Amino acid sequence: MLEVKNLSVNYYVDEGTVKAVAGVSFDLKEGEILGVLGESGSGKSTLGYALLRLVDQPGKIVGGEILLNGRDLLLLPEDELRRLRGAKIAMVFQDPFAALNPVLTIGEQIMESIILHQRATRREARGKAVEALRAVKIDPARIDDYPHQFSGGMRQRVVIAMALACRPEILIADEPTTALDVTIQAEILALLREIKAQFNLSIIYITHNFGIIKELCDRVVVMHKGKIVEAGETRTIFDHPRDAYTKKLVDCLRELR
Amino acid sequence: MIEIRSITKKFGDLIAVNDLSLTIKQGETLGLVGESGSGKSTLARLILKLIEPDSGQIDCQGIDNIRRECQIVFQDPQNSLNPRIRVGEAIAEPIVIHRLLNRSAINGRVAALLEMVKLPAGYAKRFPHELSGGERQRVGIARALAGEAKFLILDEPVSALDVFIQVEILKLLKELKTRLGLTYLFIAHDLSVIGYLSDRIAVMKGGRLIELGDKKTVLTTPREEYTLKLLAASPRF
Repeated sequence: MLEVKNLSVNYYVDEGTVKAVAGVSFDLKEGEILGVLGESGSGKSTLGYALLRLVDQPGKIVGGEILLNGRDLLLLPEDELRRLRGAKIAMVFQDPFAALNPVLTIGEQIMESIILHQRATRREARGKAVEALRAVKIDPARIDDYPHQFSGGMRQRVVIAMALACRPEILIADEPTTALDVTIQAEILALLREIKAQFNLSIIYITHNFGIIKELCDRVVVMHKGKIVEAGETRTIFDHPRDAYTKKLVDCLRELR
Repeated sequence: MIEIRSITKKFGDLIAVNDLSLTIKQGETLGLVGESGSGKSTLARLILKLIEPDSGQIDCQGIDNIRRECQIVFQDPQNSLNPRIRVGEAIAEPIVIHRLLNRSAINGRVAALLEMVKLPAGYAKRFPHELSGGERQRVGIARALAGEAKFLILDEPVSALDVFIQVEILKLLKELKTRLGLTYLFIAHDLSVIGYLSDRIAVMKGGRLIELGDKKTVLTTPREEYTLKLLAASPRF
């Protein structure tokens, strides 16, 4: 459903040009969870932003295609793209503290994108927000609470509810559990699996944690210095890495075990 | 080496550490696991006598000067180093404060400490921002060792680092422990890296010590439901 061809993103900084994403190609199949694995600086987060054309200055998408059901997102005019963000492709970020507006109730924040994208009335939007909260297992009675009234894990659920509100086809999750305790992390991962089935979502899960990839993802692409060095079934890559970098990573993790 | 007897620390109504007893043996690495809010960092501060307990006692045998001989390595070396002070000066500070060496001997000692953590002597002249995360953590370790510490609290020393760097730092810590005869308390919030260094593992929850045993037992057949839950939740490779 999503096909990325030869995507390149450069950052133009004082020291010169950094090729953060250097000719990356992969595809996301319907209903799968695809892992993007990489260390810091590998370009994995830039890739996530680029898929929504959210790369900021001094970064620039300099080439390639992002085909969503055959349409190239890189060729769409900005207003059309804006209709698509959140509606067809949604994103969840690492830090649920930063992703929520502290002075708005969570209901307002979930309703915002529903009203924008679906031209819904407030009453309709509120109904959908309640549904979204149920999907992430938050008591809908809390719809008028503020972010600070929730724990870190609950806040990440709210953020996921926001992302789900418009029933997107694709969810991009960029290290959504890194800031959370391991038991809460396990709950969020279980939740992602559940909503994937329930909403027929396809998920791109970006992380540096091979353990999470192993648990969650059907396939994985390994990024290193802006390039995909290896791609395939998670199990295969874990048991028989072919690329030198992936091998080194797997050896490293085996040593820690 | 460190004997903690029925220690309790409250912050207002919150009991951060609740009637906790624990012995850290000379020469061992004791892993301490717990989720945020479990009281592990409060316990670390109590051991270092940075805060006073409401009740209970901590005895440190073989330690004359706790401020010099008991040190802590923090999670984020970016925040624990002063950005305006050169690496060499940062490492020298404990030596100067505790009047361990003459001015003239300090540079040699700093070079030796840098060598110990496998950084080039030239790094003494650099500022923290010129170093990578892993290099900064090495500086943090060198500074902790500068006053000839015997006991180190490692508070999530690798959680902010990439996997390759994690392994390097853990290897370095293991090597230094043998070479200098150190004792470690290694704090982590998940169980995935704690096995590499630890001899024994303690698990904290809600201010209490709920499980303590040798590494293998705790990681394979723990007694407590909660430890099992932690183990199940840690995505392991």
